[in-house]
Amino acid sequence: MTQYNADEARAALADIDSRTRQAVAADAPIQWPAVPLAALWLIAIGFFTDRPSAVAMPLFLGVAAVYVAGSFIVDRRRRVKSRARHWGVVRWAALVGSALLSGAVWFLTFQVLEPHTSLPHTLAGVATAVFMTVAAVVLNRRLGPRA
Amino acid sequence: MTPQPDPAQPDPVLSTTTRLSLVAFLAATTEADFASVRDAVGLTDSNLSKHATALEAAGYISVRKGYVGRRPRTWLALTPAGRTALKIHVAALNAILAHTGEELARPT
Repeated sequence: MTQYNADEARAALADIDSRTRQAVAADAPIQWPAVPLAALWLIAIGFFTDRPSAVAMPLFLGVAAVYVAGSFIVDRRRRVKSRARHWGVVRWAALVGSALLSGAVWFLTFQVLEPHTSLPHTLAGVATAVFMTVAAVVLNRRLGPRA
Repeated sequence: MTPQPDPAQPDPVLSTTTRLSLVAFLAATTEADFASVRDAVGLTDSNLSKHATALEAAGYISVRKGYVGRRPRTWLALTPAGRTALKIHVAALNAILAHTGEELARPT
């Protein structure tokens, strides 16, 4: 039987604590999907805001679907799956959140901004998308782990 | 059969620094791949393999082989028995420190 003295016990407990933090830190950055999402939103809105909203809305939802599919791919490639990150919850939150954010972009662009401002249609859409994307990035960071 | 650790004593299987580090790292994960654990704990492939085999034989970790794309990958995970053993080990270490009036960590 190995016997510990107080110094060894202290060192062992400190090591356990540091390894736990190390494992959490080794997990993949959680805010990754915000970057391609931002790019896709901007491209989609830039191309399609002069089309009827019946075309734009499914497109935004399609972008949300790409975002969620991407999260599955990244999840498969994670090398350290930290218990501190509840990816299942985050993934479903991303699905619902992306759909809601896409809907919000559509609503703010076509129903709120465009009829009541002199902003060009495309500019209004891009401005809304930038705002929503920044919000998504902030939310993603807030959902990150705490070691 | 998985050995039952004595609640009053540090677990002998976890009493080497390397194994304790390995188990502590895995305790914070659902699973981690071989290379990540090797790099995190600072071991060679063969050293990690030996310790993983010993811990697997004790029932403390499970080893799963799979693929990511076409690349083979080995995953290590702490079993419920391993998690319990670590908790008992941490409690035993804290009990040692309790004699000196300090406690650094709670069981994970």
